[in-house]
Amino acid sequence: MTKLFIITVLFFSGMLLIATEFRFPKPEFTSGYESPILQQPLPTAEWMPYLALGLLLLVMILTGYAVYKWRSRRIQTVLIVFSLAFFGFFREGCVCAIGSIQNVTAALADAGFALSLPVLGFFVLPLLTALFFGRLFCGAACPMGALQELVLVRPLRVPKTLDRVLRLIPPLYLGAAVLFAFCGLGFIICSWDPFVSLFRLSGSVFMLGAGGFIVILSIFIARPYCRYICPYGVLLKAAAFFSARQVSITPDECIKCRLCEQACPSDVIIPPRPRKYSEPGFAAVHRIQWLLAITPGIIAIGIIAGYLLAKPATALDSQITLLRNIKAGNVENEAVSAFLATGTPVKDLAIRVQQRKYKLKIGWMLFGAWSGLIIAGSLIAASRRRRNQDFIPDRMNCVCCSRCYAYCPRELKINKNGTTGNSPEPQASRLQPRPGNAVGGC
Amino acid sequence: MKTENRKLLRQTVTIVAKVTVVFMIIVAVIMVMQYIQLKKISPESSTLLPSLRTELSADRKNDVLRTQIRELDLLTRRAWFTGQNQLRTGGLLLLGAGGVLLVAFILLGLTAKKRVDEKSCLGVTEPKRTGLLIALALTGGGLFIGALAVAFIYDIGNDDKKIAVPLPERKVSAEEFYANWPCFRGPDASGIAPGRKLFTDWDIPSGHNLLWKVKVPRQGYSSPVVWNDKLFVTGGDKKEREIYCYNANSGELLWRHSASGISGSPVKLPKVADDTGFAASTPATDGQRIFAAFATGDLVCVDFAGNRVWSKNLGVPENPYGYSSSLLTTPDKLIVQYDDERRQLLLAFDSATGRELWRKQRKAVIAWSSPIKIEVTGRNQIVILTCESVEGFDLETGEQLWREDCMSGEVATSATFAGGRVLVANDNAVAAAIDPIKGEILWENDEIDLPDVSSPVAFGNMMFIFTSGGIAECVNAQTGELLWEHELEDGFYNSPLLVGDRIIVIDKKGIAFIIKPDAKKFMLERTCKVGEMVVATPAPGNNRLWIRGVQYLYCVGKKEQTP
Amino acid sequence: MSEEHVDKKRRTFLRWTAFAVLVACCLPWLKRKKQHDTVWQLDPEKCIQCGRCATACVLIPSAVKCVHAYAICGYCDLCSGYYIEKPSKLDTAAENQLCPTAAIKRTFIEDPYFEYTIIEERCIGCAKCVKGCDAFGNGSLFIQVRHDRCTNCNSCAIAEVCPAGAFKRVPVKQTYLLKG
Repeated sequence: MTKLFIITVLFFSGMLLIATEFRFPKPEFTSGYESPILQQPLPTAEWMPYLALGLLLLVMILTGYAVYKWRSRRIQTVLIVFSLAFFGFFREGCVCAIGSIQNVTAALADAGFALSLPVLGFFVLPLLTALFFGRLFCGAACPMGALQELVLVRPLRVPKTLDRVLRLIPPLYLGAAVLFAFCGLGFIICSWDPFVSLFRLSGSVFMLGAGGFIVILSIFIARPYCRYICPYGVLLKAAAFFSARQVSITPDECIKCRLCEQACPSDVIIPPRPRKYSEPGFAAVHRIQWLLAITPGIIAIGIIAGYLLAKPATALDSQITLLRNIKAGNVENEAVSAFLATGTPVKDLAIRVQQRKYKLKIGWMLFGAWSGLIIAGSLIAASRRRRNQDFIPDRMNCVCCSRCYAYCPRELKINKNGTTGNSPEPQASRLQPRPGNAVGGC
Repeated sequence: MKTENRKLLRQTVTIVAKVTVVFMIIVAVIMVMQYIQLKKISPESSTLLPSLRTELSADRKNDVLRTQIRELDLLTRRAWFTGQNQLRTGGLLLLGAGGVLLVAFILLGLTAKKRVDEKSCLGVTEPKRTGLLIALALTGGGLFIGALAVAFIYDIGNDDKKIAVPLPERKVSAEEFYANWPCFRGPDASGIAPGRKLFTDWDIPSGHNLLWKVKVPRQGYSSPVVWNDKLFVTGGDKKEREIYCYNANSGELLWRHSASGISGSPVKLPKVADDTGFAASTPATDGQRIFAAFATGDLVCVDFAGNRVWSKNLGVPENPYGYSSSLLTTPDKLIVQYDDERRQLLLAFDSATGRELWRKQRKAVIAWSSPIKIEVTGRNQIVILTCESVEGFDLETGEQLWREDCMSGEVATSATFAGGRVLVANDNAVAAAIDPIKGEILWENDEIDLPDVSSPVAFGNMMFIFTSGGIAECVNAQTGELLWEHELEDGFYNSPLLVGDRIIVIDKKGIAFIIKPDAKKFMLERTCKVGEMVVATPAPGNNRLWIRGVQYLYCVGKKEQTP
Repeated sequence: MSEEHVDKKRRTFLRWTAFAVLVACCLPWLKRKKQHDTVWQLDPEKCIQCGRCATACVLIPSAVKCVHAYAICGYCDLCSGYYIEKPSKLDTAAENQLCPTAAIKRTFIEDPYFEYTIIEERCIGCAKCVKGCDAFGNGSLFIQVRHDRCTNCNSCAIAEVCPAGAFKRVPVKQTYLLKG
């Protein structure tokens, strides 16, 4: 140990010796001039991320009370505005739970990657909450969700088929983000985040435009980012599947009036099991059996596709591209000249590239397998039959926005009698009942 | 709330919301335009101003251009900074308007009429799943096919095995390098010119076989170097330091390049001794570029057409006589021994770019000697002399391989290399031989007369020394024993060269001695006259010899018989 | 009812399993070396002054700005970071300045020395002066991420495009990588 220390000291003193050699030695001033001191402004206070983590927890607890106990959308709106202001505009959206996926992945891949407590907290806390109380994070604590929630004025329904197809995107995006972060190809969620440039009021025209587009879109379509893009939502969905509590639309008993079904802008309220099935039960079971049987095949196709994609995708890797440029004698390339200037032997780079190529190949194959699994899973999910007796929100997709409460006649009744909650005068429906459903006779 | 009041409120809020939306659109459009404008005038990417500035430095008296630059500079900067401020304000305006719109929406929502359709009941049927399944399956299939298409399209031309182009290599071959005279005292700077015959039949005062003679514009004690048909010398005084390129066959001055405008070059010139001057360091060439160093610490690299490739100031030397170590080139490196009172450096640069490859900070005493290159056991070494030691370094890495503290006094001579021995001799020190593999002294002899400027040369087992006092000596390179000595009229500043199997050395008066190496006695073959004082070492070619006198540059060679 | 009950029980079991898995995954983090918060910074020794810092940052102007290590400055009259290659005169006129935004202030100290100060509000981080100073001077001018401006993005937009790989995360305690 002492030896190592001495060597280090010698090494550094050697460096100092070299460092003190300059073309123009500092003059010895006779006028008594003293050089100014270099200003080193510090980053935002170190405790700020911890404060943000604490506030995240607080907001989620309050949202829990607002959703389950007080059943009040008004209080929730206050929380939403706070989250948008604090986590969004004040903290400028960084670090957020969505981006933290990549930090956690990078830390798993590289033991030297620094993962601070606030970042880990932002990743884990919403998931733990979802495990017990559903997606309260989406409900009010996420600034992206908050922005979309606030601008939703005239919700339109996304056709069921399109909706199911678009819902394939988030898990694939999650897979890609994990792959990129794991292989050290960068943080794609952060690079392509449409909201963060809005929060900062600055950014590239493209990202600002994308942000503006999504905000305008979310006037008409509820939470387009959350439903069809957000990769963190996939994890929350999985956690919410086990949740102990979920939003119950009615405070006591369901009278099956179907009003809530129209109230939900995200279209996640599952109607009860119908009395009559349009097809015999065994046909559905049969189909699921078939789908289960071909699932390994779909995953295998995914692995093959990943294997084939791995090679062209090496162009995304800066180190591999660098080696290629060096081999091609592309000295004009800035990265090449910068690399050659460091004096690192090309052989070292070649060894690193070899390791990276292997890692990338495995990564892409896993990503292919994941994609296959998602597609097979969505096919099976589409064939499942529902079992619920009452109108209930789909616990995995419900984002706890509390909109449906105000539509339930039972809630209104209890409210008028003053037995529960402080729910306001019922909000009027901004939804026109769908003719097809409304006419369904009894 | 009363119905009329609610209606009035709704109307007002609606108007406010509409106006806000229009306002936001206008602000957004202005901001986008501003942004595009800002990208265009970004000072970082602007090329007009720099090009105008370059134009002005070529034409310094153009006051119209000067005013134009000043105005344009101010205009651009003003536009850039105000544009930025406007963008920031625009962002805040948009945010504020968004807030107003949000409040308007909330108010509209709160005051909206209740429109709950209470007529509904249970009548749900299980929908058909077929359409959904087909859509999902098609999407999944589409994704896979897309992935395969991407894989196949980008696979072409992306195969690493197809790219097997090696790193760019230099055009100059070792043979060409050794056939030329690229540095002080020849290709390895050791005073040995293999593979050519010394031309000995000349006499300059009488014009016998004198091909040409020119006066060098500025004075310098540096020696000429020759590459094919080009000859380079340097000259300098207090006013300017220059490189001259001559046609080696005709003596025509092809170009001259002034080592000026180098950032870091001192305004106040360092003091130099009269017999050193500003251009004592011999330039060197790698066959594509010529490198020259001057007493100001300026190091310039110029291509064969006279255009500057790179330049730098190595730091103004603190040198009581003036910087005089000559440069050494290998086919791809430039080696500079840069010693002064404060620091002793050995530097290697990439010839093409001037990038420093390695730097060796040594602890030694300043010397005026020049580095030489030797090859032992397949490894290239650089051997340098300082006022206390002889040192060997690895050419590739700069790593110090050995050091022998056998020198003293003021060392200006350089080493030579023959028969696997590094041979050195300097006044007030010793004559010695060193084994560069083990880094051991083989012998030392301090009982003979020693040179203080002229470097030794060796042939076989004989080492020849010519002193400033005019004594020629031959020492047994194996044992260090003096074989013979011979007194001549004048002293030598010029270093002897072994060309083929003859030695040429020119004394201070300008008499060239052509000597046949012999272990028994001083065997003078003939003498030729230069006619003026000679300090520089001549450059031998095939049946040619280029000699630099203190003022003139001469080329001697077989004259074509004119009918 | 019993079916629902079974479902609930199964869900509870799965939930606690998932909880245990999640917590177990976090445990190795505790065993790691103490992890400090990090910020982005660029290594001036690696920087090749390509100019991307001025354009790639999400902020306009960039959070990267030039700083001056006075300790290693030669206080030259002909400063190659301040002047264009062949200045017509060593004065403060626009036509001789290298900086596109005139963000360097030249002050006379004593003959023949001048002090050069960066006016940060004007600096856009283009590193033109750094290139000049590095090529012919001591290299006392260099660029750094200024943390009063940097938003510390999770993925730094400049780091993504830096050809020299000079950007890295540094502990908050050691925010600047200075020269000299």
